[in-house]
Amino acid sequence: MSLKRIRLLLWLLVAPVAAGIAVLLLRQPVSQVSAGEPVAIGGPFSLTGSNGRPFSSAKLAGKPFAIFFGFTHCPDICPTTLARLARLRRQFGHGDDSFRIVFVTVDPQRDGPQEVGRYTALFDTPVIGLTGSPAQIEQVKKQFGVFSQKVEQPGAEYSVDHTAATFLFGADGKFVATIAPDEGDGVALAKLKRITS
Amino acid sequence: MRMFFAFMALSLAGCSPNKAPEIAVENGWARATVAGQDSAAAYLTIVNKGGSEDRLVSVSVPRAKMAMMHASSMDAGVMRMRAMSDGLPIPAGATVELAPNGTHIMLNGLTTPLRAGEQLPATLRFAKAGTKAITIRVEEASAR
Repeated sequence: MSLKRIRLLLWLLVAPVAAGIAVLLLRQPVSQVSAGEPVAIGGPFSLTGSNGRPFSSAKLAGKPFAIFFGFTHCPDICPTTLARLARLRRQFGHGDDSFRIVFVTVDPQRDGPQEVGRYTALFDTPVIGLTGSPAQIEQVKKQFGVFSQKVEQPGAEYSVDHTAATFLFGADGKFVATIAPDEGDGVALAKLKRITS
Repeated sequence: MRMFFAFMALSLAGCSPNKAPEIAVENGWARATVAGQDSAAAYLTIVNKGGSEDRLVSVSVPRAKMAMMHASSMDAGVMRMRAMSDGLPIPAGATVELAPNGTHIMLNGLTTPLRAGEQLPATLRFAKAGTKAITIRVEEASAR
């Protein structure tokens, strides 16, 4: 076999691997934040509250908050996350004002103010439920580095894949940390302490 | 001596593997829902005390138009939920837990909202052990 042929053969072997790596890199959602890289997460936004009136992020100023993106037809992770935030806030023992819990739908097509309002009322504790026009939701998702994608399900209504982290902000409105669903309550509480102290 | 033989017989019985799967289902629960929320997740624990693998092939909950097994999985920070069309394997001797943020029974098309304190009848069908009738307890949404 000539050198040229060997080279060609090697390239043929390498090409699919390179293509695979490229696909993986491109598929990586933007929510991945690597340490040391200053990334602006959050910022001012305007959405719609569960009362149907405009909600400006200025209303969140001066108090720490935990913000989570999900959808009301989400059976597992969304109620689990909100229930956990409600429980941790109770454990905290500093009242409902110690930090606010904010839920933003990534499914504005099905979740209007009424749906979001009923859903957030489920957790026996004040939860701010927000929706908006598809364009407003897209804008806020971009600001928070949130990924979401509709997934059709055979024989059932569509589901939505979405970023599962809760974003924590201090009273100064600055992003502090995220809580992942697979992190234990101890870690979550320690992070919540960072925004409330 | 008689005692000794009885003991031997018992231990032999213990050693010879029981070939059939022996399925027990425990702790079925679901979170309460509100009107307009037509889907929910149910969680439970399946114990296989037998000597061979079984498989949970289908679930039916009359309260929902459809019940199916779903796997939630994290992929680069994104939660993805998919139907498990091949069912859920229950290996010999294993305890398989369906718990929040993981594998669950997805209830779709709830006829009425689930209220805390309710007991929902459900039927689980296993490939070998056949059907098991259970109840799913509805808990407050913020219970756990």
